[in-house]
Amino acid sequence: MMDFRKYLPLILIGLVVVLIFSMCGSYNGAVGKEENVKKAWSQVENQYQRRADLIPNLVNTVKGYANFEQQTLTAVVQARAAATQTKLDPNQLTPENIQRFEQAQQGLSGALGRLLMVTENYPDLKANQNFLGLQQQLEGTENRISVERKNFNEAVNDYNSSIRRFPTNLLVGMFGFTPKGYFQSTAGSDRAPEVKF
Amino acid sequence: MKSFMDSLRQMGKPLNAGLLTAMLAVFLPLFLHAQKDVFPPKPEPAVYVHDYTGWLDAGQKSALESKLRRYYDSTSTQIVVMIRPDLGDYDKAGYAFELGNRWGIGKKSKNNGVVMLIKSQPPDRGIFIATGYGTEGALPDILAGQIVRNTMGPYFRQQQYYEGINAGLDAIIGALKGEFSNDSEPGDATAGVVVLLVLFFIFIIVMIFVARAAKKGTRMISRSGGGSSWGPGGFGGGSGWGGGSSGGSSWGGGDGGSFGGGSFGGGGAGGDW
Repeated sequence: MMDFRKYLPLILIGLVVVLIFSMCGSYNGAVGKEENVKKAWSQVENQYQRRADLIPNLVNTVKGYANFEQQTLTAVVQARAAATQTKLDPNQLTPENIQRFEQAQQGLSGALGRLLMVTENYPDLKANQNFLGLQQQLEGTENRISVERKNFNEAVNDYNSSIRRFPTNLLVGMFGFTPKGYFQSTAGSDRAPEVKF
Repeated sequence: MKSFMDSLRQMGKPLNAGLLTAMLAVFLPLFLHAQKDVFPPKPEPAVYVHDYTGWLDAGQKSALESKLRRYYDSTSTQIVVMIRPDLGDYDKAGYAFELGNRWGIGKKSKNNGVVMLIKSQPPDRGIFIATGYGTEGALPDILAGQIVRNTMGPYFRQQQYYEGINAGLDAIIGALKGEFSNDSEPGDATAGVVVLLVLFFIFIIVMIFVARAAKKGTRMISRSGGGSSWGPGGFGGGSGWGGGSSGGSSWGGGDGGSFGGGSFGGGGAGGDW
């Protein structure tokens, strides 16, 4: 019993040291995971940018066809403007911001989907090689977007669950680790428009 | 009570009917679950041709397999052919990327993997060629789409599946010509050295710790009883680790290689035939 009393302060100091070390480790871990989230986000933004860059070409190609629905075209142009204006600071990837970004991009997805549906009525357009190429690039971009969205969600999941775990959760208030937002996959709306040949 | 004793006695006999049904009851659901999973486990070592439809006979399958194996040996590029009737909830593109990423098709440092996915049954029947990050440049979506429609499509429409796949693979290999070579990867070697160094330092620190503890309070350790057996246990673990590393070194020299962590970012294109 005497022995135990003698060692008690040492044991306590040891425990505190271990706790501090594990806190440092988990702080560094959380920082690394946050960086991964930012990296994944920049990939998501790149792919959405790539889609936005394709649209002027697509619109110009379609415009050339007589009496093509002006309404559909202007809707696409407007949705593109709205989507490219919605930029997010990588340090502010809160659930609300992600949702706002996603809504803007989905507006563009919807407008593009309608445009491609309308083109079904124009056999000349569907035979245009330029248009076919653009359509295929658009499809490839949608595929890349969905992969990068998935990677982003995985990075966020990794980060969010790490900051909830002990002892990182003790550091959350101190260093401002806040949970980040996910992409909500809405059924069908982020699917690439199917191209039939 | 008697029946209980009987069953106890029967338990001793190997493979009696009761035990068999009990085992079936336990393992059948697992087995069925495994059947339902649309992603087969990663083959180790790598297998390049997977046919779940029976479209390829044994000779055709091994011809394609050895072609892809030779291709890997000379270029380190991995092309996987997957033929399936169903993909669960996935569309063709999503399945192909997921398969590539789960298995890690292609080298980690080059991401030089390609997946040729063939969905044999409607709905959404068709072919999708997915390109890893590293092959997107030499095999852009447009070219992948052309290979599906113009090279493979005509054969598939006449049910000449083997010829179609073979022609498609030739076109992919042609497109990737000169892009990759099978040089040894310095990245793997340095990673191995780093791991070795870290383990060495941990070992030293543990040894210092053990020596100090032994010097300071022999009474404290001997009282716990576990202290003396702990030292040799650590040594035993060390020697076991050495055996593991020799298994790791044979990884590089395998004839078909193994899938090594390549990733896919959504490149590729597909279509029906």
